[in-house]
Amino acid sequence: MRNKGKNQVAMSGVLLALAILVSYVELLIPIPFPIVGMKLGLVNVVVLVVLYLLGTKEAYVITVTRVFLVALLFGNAFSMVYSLSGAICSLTAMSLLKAKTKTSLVAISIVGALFHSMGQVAVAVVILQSLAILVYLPSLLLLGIATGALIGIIAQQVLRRIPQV
Amino acid sequence: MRKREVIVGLIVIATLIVIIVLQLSHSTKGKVIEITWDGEVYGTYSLLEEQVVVMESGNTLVIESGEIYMESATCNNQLCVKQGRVGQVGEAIVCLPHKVVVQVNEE
Repeated sequence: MRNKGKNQVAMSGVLLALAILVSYVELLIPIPFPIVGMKLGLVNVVVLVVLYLLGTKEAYVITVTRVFLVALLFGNAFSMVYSLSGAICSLTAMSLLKAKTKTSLVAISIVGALFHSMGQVAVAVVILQSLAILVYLPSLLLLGIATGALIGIIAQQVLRRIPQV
Repeated sequence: MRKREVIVGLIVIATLIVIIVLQLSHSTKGKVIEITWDGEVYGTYSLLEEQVVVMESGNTLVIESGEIYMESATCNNQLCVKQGRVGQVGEAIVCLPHKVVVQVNEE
């Protein structure tokens, strides 16, 4: 029992480091589409792994810490507000679906991607005090379904290969 | 994935495609633009008049042949510059770090 706790802490640390690294790698990937807020969402692979391997509480702790550290290292206060709103919306939707329904991992990943976009756009509307950005929402969501499915499939393969803690 | 999830997914995709097609088909060339900075209207400019708007926020907007594009911005992500040219009603160029929104309007 004691050993299990230690393993969990170690695993949380490793996954947090991985999440920060993946966030950085994501910054290096050029975006071919000229749409605000469009990105692959690679870090969601790590979030999904944490959610399934360690649990909801750990997923929240790692997500909030990751957003904070990534903003400190590579971004600024503004980028933090946007990342945090998207990340929290996405994680809340995913953890609720996982806990209350029998939705599959890929579908949960897609819903997470959609809520990420919606959370970010909602915050952008508040900060910019303008509804203009809503024009981008439909295309963002459509792309979110594609990237969400891709990320879900990757997370599924990762979870199949790493040992249980 | 279960069958039910696929059906829900297809409905969502279909809805989004319909919205995007409606957006594209209803688009008309804009005539004026409105620049908002930090929640307040910064200015309105005609799209028919070629000019360069240099803003104190650090954004340089170019109006050229009925379209607009952000020529430069002093932010680190440069997303507004990468958005390229827009000119249809309802389209916008958004600069999140500087809280600048340039929206294309009918008149």
